[in-house]
Parts: sequence; C-alpha cells; structure tokens
Amino acid sequence: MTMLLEVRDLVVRFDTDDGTVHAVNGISYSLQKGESLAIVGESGSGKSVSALALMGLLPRPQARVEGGTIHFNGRDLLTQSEQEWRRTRGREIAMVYQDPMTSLNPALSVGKQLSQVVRHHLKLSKSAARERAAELLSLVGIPNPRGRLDDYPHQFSGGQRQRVLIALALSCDPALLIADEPTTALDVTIQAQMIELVKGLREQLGMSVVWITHDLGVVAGLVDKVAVMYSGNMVEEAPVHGLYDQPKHPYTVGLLNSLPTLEPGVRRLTPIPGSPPDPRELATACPFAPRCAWVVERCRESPPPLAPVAPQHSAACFRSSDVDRQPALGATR
Amino acid sequence: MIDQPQLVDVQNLVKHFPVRRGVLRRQVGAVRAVDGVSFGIRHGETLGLVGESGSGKSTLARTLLRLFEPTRGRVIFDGEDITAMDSKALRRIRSRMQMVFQDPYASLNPRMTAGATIMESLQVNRVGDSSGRAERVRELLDLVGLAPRSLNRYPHEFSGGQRQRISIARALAADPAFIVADEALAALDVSIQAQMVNLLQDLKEELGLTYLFIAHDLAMVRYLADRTAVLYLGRIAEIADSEELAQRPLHPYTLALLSAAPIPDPVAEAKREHIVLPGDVPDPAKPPSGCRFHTRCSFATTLCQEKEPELRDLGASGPHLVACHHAEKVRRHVASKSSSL
Repeated sequence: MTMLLEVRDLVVRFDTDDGTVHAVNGISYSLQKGESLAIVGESGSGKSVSALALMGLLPRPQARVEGGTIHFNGRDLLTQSEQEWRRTRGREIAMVYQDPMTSLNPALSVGKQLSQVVRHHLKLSKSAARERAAELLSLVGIPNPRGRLDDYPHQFSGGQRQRVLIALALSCDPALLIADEPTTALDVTIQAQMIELVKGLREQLGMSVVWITHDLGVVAGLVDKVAVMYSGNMVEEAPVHGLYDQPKHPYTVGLLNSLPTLEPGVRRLTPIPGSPPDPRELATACPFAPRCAWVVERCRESPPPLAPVAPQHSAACFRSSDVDRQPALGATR
Repeated sequence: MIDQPQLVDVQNLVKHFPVRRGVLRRQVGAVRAVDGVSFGIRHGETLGLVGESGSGKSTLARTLLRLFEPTRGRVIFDGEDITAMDSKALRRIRSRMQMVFQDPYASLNPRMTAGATIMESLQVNRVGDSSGRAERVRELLDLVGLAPRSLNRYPHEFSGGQRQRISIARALAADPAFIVADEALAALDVSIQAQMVNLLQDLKEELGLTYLFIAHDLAMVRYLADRTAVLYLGRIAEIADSEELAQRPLHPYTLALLSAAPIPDPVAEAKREHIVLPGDVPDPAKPPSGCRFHTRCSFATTLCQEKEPELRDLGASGPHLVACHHAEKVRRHVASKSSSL
C-alpha cells in the first residue's frame, strides 16, 4: 500500500465581524491508495472546512490556513500556486457536493458540462469528449445515457442529478473523491442507491474516498476507517469495526447513542446534553468537557491529545480506558 | 389506547392541484398529491406518517388542517367536520390544531424575539388576559427547556435545536390538543434530534397531546409513534402499530424503506438484506396504472399493473392494513429472512 494523502496538524481560521472562528485546530489523518475514510461531525465541527482545504477552495480572504501540511502523492498541496491547484482539482482530487441543484449549471446541458471538464483536463476532441460523457453517465447508472446528453439539469430527478454530479467528479479518473454530505438532501431510498453506487465505483475504479457526514449510520457499511471531529478537533480515529464496537471517546459514544435503532421496545433516545461550544473561543481544556458524562477535574485544565488506545485506534480523551457504550452513572439527563 | 375516542378522523381525503397550460390556462391534468386517504388518530396517540419526497405527506398535513382546501373528503376534528366550517368557526378551532415546521430558520420571524413570537401566538389565539400572558411566556420557555434569558433574544442568536424549541413553544402557546410536526427534526444534527425526540415525548405525557409526526425516517418515527402510516404517491400503502410495522412489514415499499434506513453497526450492516429500489418516485401527475408502486417493486406481477390493490386488514393481534396484492408473499419473505439471522 502506498500513501496517498497525509494531513498533518492542519489549522484553519476564519476572520469574521464577530471575531476569529477556530474552524480546524490541528487535525492529522492519512489515507492509503484505495482506502476510504469517513469524517464524521455535526454542524460547526470543521468537517466541511477541512474538506475544502483539501480542494484548495477555502473562501478567501476570510479563511486562512494557519499551519500544517497536506501531502498528496508526495507533494505539499498548501504550497501550490493557483495554476497548479487547477491541475490538481478535478483531475487528481474531485469533490461531490451536498446540493445537486445548485452545483450544476442550469443553463448548460448535462452533456456539455461533462465534456467541458474532460476537454479542459484531458484535452480530448469534441466528439471524443461527448463519447466520454456518455460513458460516464452510463457508469453512474443513468438509463439511456446517449439520449440524455442534451438534457438540462432540471429534466433530471434529484437522485439522477446527484448521479450526474458523481459522473462529473469521476470524469478525469481522480485518485481521491471527496463526498461532502452527498446524501443529506436525498430520500432514504435514493441515499441507499448512492451508497451502493459509490461502493461499486470504488471497487471498480480503485479510488480513495473521503466521505463527510454527520450521520454515523450512513457510513457503517461504506468505509474502512472513521475520524470523528468535534469543535475543530479530531477526537477519535479508528478502523470502522473498532469505532462502532468499542468507541473510546465520550462524544462518539454520545453520537452512537443518539441514533435511533430498529431495536424493539425502546421509546427514548439518549441525547448528548447541551450544545457545542462557541467556535470563536479557542479551547484551553477538553472542548467536550461541559457535555461529558465521564468528565473529571483534569479535563477542565488542559486539552487531551489524540493518543493511541488500541492498534490503529486513537482517541483524545484522558479517560478513554473507562469509556464504553453504556453511559456513565448520572448521565441519564 | 384503543378505547380512546378518535380526535381526528380523516375520511377519503383528496387533494389535487390543477396543471394548467396554454394562453387560456385550461386545466390539462392534475397533480394527485393526496388521492383518497383515510385514517383516524385517537386522543393521546401519536401517528407517524412516512414517505419519500413527492409522496404527498406534507400536502396531506396541510389539507388536514385545512391550510389547503381539500378537493374531496372530510376531516372530523373532535366531532366537528372542519371541511364544512366557515372561516370564523375555523379560526376558533385552529388554536386547537397547531403545526411545527421543518425549517427552524425560515419559520421564525427574524425581527421578533423569542418572547414576542410566543406572545403573539397567545394574543392571536386569545389565550389568557394581558397580565397573565407575560407569565405564560416564561412558563412555555421553561416547558421546552429554554433559559429565561432567551426571552429577549432574536432567532439568529439561537442554534437550530433551540429555534425548534421556540417553534414548539409557539405551537403550545395556543393550548392545542393536536400538533402536526412536519419533518420537525430533519434539519437538526443527530445529537439534537435525540434531545427533541425526548422533549416531544415528555410534552405529550405532560400535556396529553395528540401528534401527527411526519418524517422520511422510519427509525425515528418508530421512537415517537404508536402507529405508523406509510404513504406512497398520495395513497396509504400500509398502516399498523409501529413495532408491528417495523418487524413484520407487509408492503414491499415498507420493506425497502426499512432496508434503506442505515444501521450504525458495520457487522449488522454487512449481514442484512439490502433492497435498493430502482429509480425515483414517479410523477404524481401521471401515477402508474394499477398499483402505484409496481414500477419499482420486485414482487410485482401483471395483476399489479392492472388492478389497484385495496387496503385490507391482515393483522393478527391488531389492525394491520396493507394495500398490496402480494402481502402474504412479503410476509413469508420477511419471516424467512428473520429466521435465517
């Protein structure tokens, strides 16, 4: 296995009228060729910002990368020029966004949008590009692909539009596909279609996938490993089985317990009390401490580092050895 | 619960939206959003309503509250036919039926503080007198778990979950008997969803409320609803006790919805049956012939293309209504899958 992506100590801040927002506070993770990773977190956890950083698409001038490196295929993306970024984006790293309606150009036929990309990146002729466009539509399971090339986005259903977006992302055969909540706007049945599609494509094309989501349920059957983010920090990283079996960070436990299951007879959920901290305040302690059932004095004094707890499994918690799926005593509220 | 009288009785409700074309705006067809739906909700019961986008669930909710005029059918609320009421009578009864909407960002007035929003609901619905209302606003905030300091804050100062609490407090201000929650949890983060599920359960017990809880997520509905109805293209596909529906589904569509609900466990996820429905929900202006689900159904036969199945009761212990020609086959299929696990 060779290393494809290595993110080290990435720090991203936003300057806003209300002060500096600490969106990403020194996260690190890596991805082998062909491997897939889920980054899980709630609104404001920094998961989407860290993905935008991978694409060199952070909104400027508000966002600043304050530190860290992103090595992709051996070179540091953060020192690239805008020209080099244009070659990376789409061709080496591609992204599928959440909203299929706003990410497609409503005034261009789907065939045009697809051929534009391949003509630009792969320097194909007009007819070869059209051929490739039809091939891509068929790859993502659009029936009668040749006949639909001249259709416009509004003539496709929501699920099909998301397929077109995936086709766009795959058009130049990227080594890494980033999917930012690609199924949240979709119905469960269409979500199931998308998950099957991406799983199949991953095997077929051998690409790596970073899947960003707020829902631990969605990625259980989809990825090799999971990284959990909270308030701009990575709080746990583990192979998918280890994470669901033996979560070692109280926030991960909280997320798992919040999910409805199809187990009979249970009529209440176990939520995480409170709400996430203000991202404008840089944490001087464990950011999860105010909501944590395992909290001790130490947690309020200094932030715990991400440390190994099992093979390939790390957690940022002083009490990770005591944490398990059963909520601690007194944590019923 | 079974002995409780009906609070809401929906009888063959139909809502069609005309499709007009040409210079004369002649009606050329109709979007059959709700197409003959009947069910009842008993006092103190929660009915879950599940379906994909385009299934007509939101239209059904709005027609039921007569926010849309029904095309046909009747809605009896607490013994009174609200479909026949004049606007004055309707206004009187509206305070007893409240709605909580999906988007906590769009459903609150950004220029009104939380306190003013709740106060307005008290005034409009003529609850209490002016001296008692200020106190009542504070009580309502407390009831939905918001701190007293929230009173003078504006919507943008709250998180999504807190905004949804304000929406609930506003609905409760009218002192309703019946609350329709239309995808009220869909826009919230998972950990906040769980808080809201518990809040809704607590409020129901405390205030003796009756809910119609609309969602696209069967797993969530199961936590809140005593019974669940599954809607497909404006028709009820299946309706039964929530536990029964989740464990012994009789409609292939319910089966597919259950299979599509993600399980947060990679081992169970790998083992269970995955039914991926082909295609999308068909256009409700041109629903398929016969059974509306036959275009996506793996159990479908020629019978399904020709004849629309009626709702029939196949329940063993309680009513379990299903509109499928092959429900017995689905039952055997489910039984064989669960015994092999």
